[in-house]
Amino acid sequence: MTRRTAAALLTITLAGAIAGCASGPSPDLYQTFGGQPGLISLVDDFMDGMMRDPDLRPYFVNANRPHIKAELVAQFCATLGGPCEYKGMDMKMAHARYGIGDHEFNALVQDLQDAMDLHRIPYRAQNRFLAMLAPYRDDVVHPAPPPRARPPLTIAPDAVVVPETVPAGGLPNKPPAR
Amino acid sequence: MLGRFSDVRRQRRVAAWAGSFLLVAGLPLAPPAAGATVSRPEDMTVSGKLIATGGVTQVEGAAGGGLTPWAVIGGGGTREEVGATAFFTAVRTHDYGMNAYGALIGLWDRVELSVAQDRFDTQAIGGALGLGDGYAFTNTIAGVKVRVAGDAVYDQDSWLPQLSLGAQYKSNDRGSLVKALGARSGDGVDLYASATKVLLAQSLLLSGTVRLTKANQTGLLGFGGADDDYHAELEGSAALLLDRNLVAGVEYRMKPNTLAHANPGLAPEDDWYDAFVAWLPGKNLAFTLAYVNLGRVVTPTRQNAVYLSLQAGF
Repeated sequence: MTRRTAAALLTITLAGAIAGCASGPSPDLYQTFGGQPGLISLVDDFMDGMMRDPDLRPYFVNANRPHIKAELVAQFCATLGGPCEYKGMDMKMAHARYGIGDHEFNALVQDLQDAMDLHRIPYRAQNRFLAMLAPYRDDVVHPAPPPRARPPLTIAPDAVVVPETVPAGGLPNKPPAR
Repeated sequence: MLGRFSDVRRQRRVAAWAGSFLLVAGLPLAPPAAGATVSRPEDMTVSGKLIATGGVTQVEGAAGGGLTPWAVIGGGGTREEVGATAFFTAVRTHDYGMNAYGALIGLWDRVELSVAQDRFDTQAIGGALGLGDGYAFTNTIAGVKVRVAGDAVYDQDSWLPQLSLGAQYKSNDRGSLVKALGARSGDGVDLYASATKVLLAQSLLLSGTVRLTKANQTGLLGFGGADDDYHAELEGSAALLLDRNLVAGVEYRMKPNTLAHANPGLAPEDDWYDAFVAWLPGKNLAFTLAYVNLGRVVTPTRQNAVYLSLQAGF
């Protein structure tokens, strides 16, 4: 009797969860994220979040952020099943030299979750999206090369000043454009 | 103290990276002229695991659900970090009370070392059995778990779960009494293998464990009885991720029933199951509330229990 009850509970949980939710890219999911305008706005807030994150700011502060954001929009759009193709750099090539660790990758995931929360994307849709992005961890996270193998600092840290396009406090949060 | 250990590791790692905290890197997406530097913050002390991915703590001290271990390594540490948690759990049935507390340390998302103590209070039943009101059995448990393959959260492109092997050494402080009741020993070792998978697209967590054990009521009533053999028992959890801070699920744990065969005066030992809700308001804090059915424990009455657990860590 007790075993049957537990088995029934398990079955109900499983059936409910699997039947209630598809996986993989789909135009529906792309629309849940607000299509192209929604993704542009989401990626804006995502980048603002990363710039406020002390773990990630150093990786983006001197980067060409408008370009990175455009690449992210294309990649997210293609991943979600939208009418786009990601033609950017191979993920492995793009990240190999940074020695990015799990800590930084998880920080990025959390900033993305925060941005999706801000845009009121349902939690289950967020997870469908994250499930498709998760395998990228193996391309992005690399153990750092040993210190002696690292090239010497060839340029002074303040040699290049990139104009700050994002105010220190971040942009005021906009509701998603729908 | 453990936090300090983590700090020190971080600092050593950062310090090892050249004389300066500034680390060189050209950002690949930036124009070539804009060679840039990436400086790692020197105070990355908060462990970096995603929220809830270290699980909560089961009654024997391993990271998992409430009753059964999961293959996850506890604590907030990633593959480059050390994390730790401490827990306190109170279980109350109509006739009995059990308090469990302990701590674990997770090393580089690879090895988990845990200690826990379970104190089982027989309350008035102890008096009825002639042991005295409030007679208590205390089980001290030292555990080790090693992740052997997979990543429960990130391997979303494969069906391979995270796999871990574990062992729990348990020592009962009432060795002579449990032997008088029919058990073979007051000490024992459980061996287990766990497989845990987060099906992220379905917002679902599944976990299964096979445990080789001689323990009666997890060791609170000693080890062995009618036989002194290891019994393979199945345990499982299924949980829905309701949002980033809320998980609800059910668990099941089968148990051997050897002590009642050795001593017909004792009620048979039943399997345990529960339904739980875990709330994780932050990375470092978890509250779990559960209804647990412990079945018959010594007496023929079925024990329905309220289970409350608090876990804090980094």
